[in-house]
Amino acid sequence: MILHVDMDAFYASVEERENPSLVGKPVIVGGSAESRGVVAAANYEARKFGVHSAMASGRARRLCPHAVVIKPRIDYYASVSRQIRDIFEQFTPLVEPLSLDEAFLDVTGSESLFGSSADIGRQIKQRIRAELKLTASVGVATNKFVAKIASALKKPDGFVVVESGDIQAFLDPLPVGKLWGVGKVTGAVFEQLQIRTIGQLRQMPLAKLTELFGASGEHYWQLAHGIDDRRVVPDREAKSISNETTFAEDIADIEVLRAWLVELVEQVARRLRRHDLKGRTVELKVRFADFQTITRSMTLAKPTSITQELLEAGVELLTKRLPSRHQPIRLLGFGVSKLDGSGKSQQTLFDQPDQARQQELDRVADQITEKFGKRAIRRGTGIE
Amino acid sequence: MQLTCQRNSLTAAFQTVSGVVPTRTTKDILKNVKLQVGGGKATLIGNDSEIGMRCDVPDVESDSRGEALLPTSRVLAVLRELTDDVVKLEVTGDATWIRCGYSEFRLSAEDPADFPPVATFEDADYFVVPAAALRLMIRRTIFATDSESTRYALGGIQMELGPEKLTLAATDSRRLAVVTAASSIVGRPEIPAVSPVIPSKAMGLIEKSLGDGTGEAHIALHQNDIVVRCMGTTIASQLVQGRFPDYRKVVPDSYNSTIDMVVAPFFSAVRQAMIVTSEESRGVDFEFGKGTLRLNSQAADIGQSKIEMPIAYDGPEMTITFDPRYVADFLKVLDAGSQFHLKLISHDDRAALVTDDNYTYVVMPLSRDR
Repeated sequence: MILHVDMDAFYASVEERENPSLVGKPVIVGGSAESRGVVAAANYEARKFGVHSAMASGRARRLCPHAVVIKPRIDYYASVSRQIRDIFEQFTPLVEPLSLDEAFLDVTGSESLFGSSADIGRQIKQRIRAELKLTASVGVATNKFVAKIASALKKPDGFVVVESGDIQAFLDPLPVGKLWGVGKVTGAVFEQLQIRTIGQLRQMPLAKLTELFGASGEHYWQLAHGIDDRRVVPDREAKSISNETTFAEDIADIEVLRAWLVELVEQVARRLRRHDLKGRTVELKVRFADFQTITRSMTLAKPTSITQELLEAGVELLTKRLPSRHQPIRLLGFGVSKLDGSGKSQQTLFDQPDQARQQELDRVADQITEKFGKRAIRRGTGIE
Repeated sequence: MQLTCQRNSLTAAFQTVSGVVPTRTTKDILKNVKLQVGGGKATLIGNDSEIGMRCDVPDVESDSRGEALLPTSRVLAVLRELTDDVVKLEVTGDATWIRCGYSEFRLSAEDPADFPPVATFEDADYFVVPAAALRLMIRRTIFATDSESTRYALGGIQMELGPEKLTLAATDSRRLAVVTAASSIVGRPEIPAVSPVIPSKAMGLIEKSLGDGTGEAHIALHQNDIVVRCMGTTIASQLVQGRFPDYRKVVPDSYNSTIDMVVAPFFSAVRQAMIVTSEESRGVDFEFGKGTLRLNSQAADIGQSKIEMPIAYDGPEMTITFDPRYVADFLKVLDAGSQFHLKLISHDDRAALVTDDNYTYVVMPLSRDR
């Protein structure tokens, strides 16, 4: 069984815990002028007024003028997040964190030690409350997709168990928007077809869905039937971290490709850093217009998670290691392997100001991204 | 020109000089060793355009004078295969003949006049170090150099010359090796304001040329180069350009614990701990407890190891993570039975390994960023 544990209004709850006088008042974390005017988190009091995260702060203030506005302390939230993860790891080593306040746990192998999956979910909730004075919502189900929907259903302080026989009954009444991968565009198509619930979608034949959505059609069909085979992958088990993108139109211009590469590297580097990993081998993947796909890789002198260092390697592969005359490119991918999860690095006797500066830059950029989303800050050379 | 020499002496001298001959070069002429004969003496000369080397061939007989270029790898191969004790060389207009027993080789030659010159040791003012001491000092520092460094000139060994002592220092910025020994002077050599840095290739060649360590090494320093003479060998090297960091600042003045260690058992434990490390996870935890040092290592997909040894430590428990290769590098250049002091500050600060004969090695740990 899989647990999805999602902390309730995490940043705001941590602030309330630190300053009990805030309890009962609407609290907005972020949203001040300095933090670029976006709400990073809002407690449930503030949400009653319609405030939610990623909302423009001006609007949030108009909706809830008496809210207490707090400057985010991401470092501190990260340390609390580690304490939460420590609790998870006392029940199972199979923990896959999604962000600071959210994780999947595979507790199948822990049941003989700690009781049923539902019991484990309750114990985890209880320990987070007792030890950290915070509340979490927990979803328990046979797979990730259902567990995640379950944890969101009764927030805050929710606890929802979906046994395998109850999946269909659980999913059918939910709106199709809950399906992972259904966004505005797909949602509009479903709307046209008058498909509003997962149950209605489930009635559609697979062939019809693939006709409408291609490969994604099968994905929706599976989810609607409660099928999701994704494993819980602890970070330290990951062998590589990569990201790729298929362009709307094939690209021949090397400068445009370079800009896309910046985006890919940024994302991969951020994931490395979030998981305290460093990679030593970088790989570039290129698919040409005729679908021929090649990869080029190189090994660095030492493992790194510094965006700039990974980018330099990626640019070298892109500009020097591809065939000198090649077709336009339809897909570009960047990955890092040979991961070092020790979280430690060799210290140096003499200052390495460049490296320290790059690390600081990454750290600040990560914080901004964590707070305000990845559009909030970008390298000057990236894609607009 | 004709020359008769002992095969062993010629081979030894030729091998020494071949060390400077570049394996890859755009100047083909440098792939040769130049033979110079005159006044009953023979000298072999090699040059890689930064470092030049002259080596006298002992026990030769010749009443002629002249010079020739010998293709290095070919002649080395010939010398390796010959068996008779006496080798005769003859240089005619366009070829060099090597004759030994029933074997005869004729090797075509390039014009020796085109070979770039190599300085001789002409100085009257110079520094003097016993050859054995210099050889040991080079062995104790050369492994810590770093030719990749771009920020500092770390591709060589810094040589601090004084009237009474010589100090060599080398670092790759992760560890630092410093060794000092007594020296003397002849004449009045100028003490340089900025200590020169000598390329590690040149230092390696000097170390080899010191042979069995008998005699003294003479060191003359000039504006842009250094010339070192020992017995029949002279090496002239350009200096490494760029700044060598002020290493004195990173050698701590005081420590929180000092542990007396014997090389052999510690080296054995470190070698064992190195087995379960990988390219990706180099670190080994050195866990200092009362009376016990435990080395813990683990690497994903490989496994883990735990090696314990008794040590004379009764300070607070402390775990420092080191790249064991750096620790082993130090232990490798010490005698198995010798002692040293392991000096610690804290779990995330540098450690020093110090011998009683003025050898200090500072190594940085692995630790969490920030």
